[in-house]
Amino acid sequence: MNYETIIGLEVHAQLLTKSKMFCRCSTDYASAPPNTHVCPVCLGMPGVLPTINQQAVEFTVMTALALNCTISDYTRFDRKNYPYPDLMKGYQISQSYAPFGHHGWLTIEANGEKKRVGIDNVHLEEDVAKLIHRTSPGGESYSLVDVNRAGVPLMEIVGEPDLRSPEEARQYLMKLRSILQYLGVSTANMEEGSFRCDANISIRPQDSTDLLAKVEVKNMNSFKAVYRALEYEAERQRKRAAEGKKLAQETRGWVEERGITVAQRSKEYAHDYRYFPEPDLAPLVLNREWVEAIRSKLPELPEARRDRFVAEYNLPLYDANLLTSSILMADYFEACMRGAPQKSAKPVANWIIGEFSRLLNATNTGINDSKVGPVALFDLVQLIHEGSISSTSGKSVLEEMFHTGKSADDIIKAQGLSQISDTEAIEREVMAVIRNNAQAVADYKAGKKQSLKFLVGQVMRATRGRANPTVVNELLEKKLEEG
Amino acid sequence: MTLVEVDYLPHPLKHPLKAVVLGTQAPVGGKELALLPILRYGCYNDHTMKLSREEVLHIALLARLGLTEAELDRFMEQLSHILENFEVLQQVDTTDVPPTAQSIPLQNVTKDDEVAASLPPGQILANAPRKEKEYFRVKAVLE
Repeated sequence: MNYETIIGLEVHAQLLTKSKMFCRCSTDYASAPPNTHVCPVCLGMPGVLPTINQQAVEFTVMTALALNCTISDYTRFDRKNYPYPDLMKGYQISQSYAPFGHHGWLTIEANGEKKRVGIDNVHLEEDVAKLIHRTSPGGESYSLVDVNRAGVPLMEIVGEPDLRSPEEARQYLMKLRSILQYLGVSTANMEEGSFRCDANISIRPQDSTDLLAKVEVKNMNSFKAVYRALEYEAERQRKRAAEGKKLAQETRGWVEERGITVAQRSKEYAHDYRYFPEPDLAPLVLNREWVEAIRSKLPELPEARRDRFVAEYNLPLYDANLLTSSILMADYFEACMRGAPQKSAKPVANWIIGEFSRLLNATNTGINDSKVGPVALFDLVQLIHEGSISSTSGKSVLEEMFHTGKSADDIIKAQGLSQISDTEAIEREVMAVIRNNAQAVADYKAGKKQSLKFLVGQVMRATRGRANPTVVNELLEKKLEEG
Repeated sequence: MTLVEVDYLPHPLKHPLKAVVLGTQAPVGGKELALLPILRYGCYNDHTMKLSREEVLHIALLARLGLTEAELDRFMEQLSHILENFEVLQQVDTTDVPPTAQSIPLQNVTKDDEVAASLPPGQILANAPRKEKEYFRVKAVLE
């Protein structure tokens, strides 16, 4: 039997506020010693009162608007009760009945077609404390609690089960991350934990609406992990179904090192959350004009920017998509292009998407932390474009710029890399190569045309990549015909 | 003790839920205090308000309380009595009273996003029953 995969994702994103959701402790805990950004409110001391962070509310409304949600006129917080030591109060302040936004969507590209993925709701809650699990020398297991993270504003985006493959899930996550980064509401970094994803995945017989058991997958800490976990889980469910075994409705954890999901011990009464309205917080009435004012201030979002890149810089859609998937890369590109003619756009895009991205990824460097600023990169692209250096030399120059921060000009001068377009100089090398490679020359004359490539390579090698390849090609062909 | 009956506001996404909320907590202590917040949530659809042994054990589990047999009997009676009081309140005609979860009609109370000093580190761990270095130490709880 053929089965269809049904996936819905729940994403949690930490918001980029300065202070926590309900108190004034700093959210900047990443490099802080444990339990230093803590006060009676986030510690859950008796008698304290939380207060809603206005900035977190605005960020959530911005996100809900960008995700085409209907914004609630009336919204409020609820208590979600559960006994786990990462909650200092014994409950989490969340939203269950009246989220900020609901019934939204975002578009992804799947198999070359646009697809709309539903957003059930966007709501706001607080992050929990960090637990470190330990075992004492005597064999007792215990946990250490760091409360710094508890109370950091956490926005949850609940997606509809509209995704049909791990690839669509990956697209959805990348699109969502991109939107959050464009809005400036979250760093949306999965590895650092400011962007987290849980997945619901099930299969159903084709053309049926009966889902087999719904499985929740947790513990995925990168985009790649989400993709691999979902791929594994879809396959596992299909195998079990094919064997006629029953699928359990359960929560499974992704084990990165082994590349599998394993059933997690289910919490007893796990879903007895007993939500009720948070009595310590007054509800929020979201004024229409205020919401519209936020809507009008929304920044340009990835799709709009991509379309503008195509129109304004005459870039292919593919390049525009890659450049605008990250706001930092899109900003970098536009900084390169400031004052530059439109025809530079394609070569600049090529160098950013290609060699520069390769260097950034290989060294795990953020585009803004690199030693190569937009002006320096543009200068390099210009030098290549003008023929001052070859494209091959350009790669090594960029690498040198990347590691030393020197300008392209200085490196070219210091290393004598200027491209040789001087026909006489190249002719000398061409003749030498023809003399020293009799076999290849004979092959070429016997009709083996790819020998020319080898001979071009030899000339490039002799000139350390500095010879203008077009001139080398022309001269070689000419000399071979003559001789 | 102020008792308020609340009909959760119907929301397009979720089904409306009936619940009972204690507006203000009665001044009680010990295990009674721990059990009360759980009663804020009414899942007791039974017509009689008498709680069963199992229900009290369930509530105790949710509060992570271990009860002795004697305590179980005592709380079964006391908690049932509290619910009986709700029964009295249920008789009030609230047809024209808009539902609310608040005792004071406030709305849109927020703070600016500004950072203030946190507690000094020494004070943060001062009440911790167990600590290790700068961490709270708790028993392992399996997810």
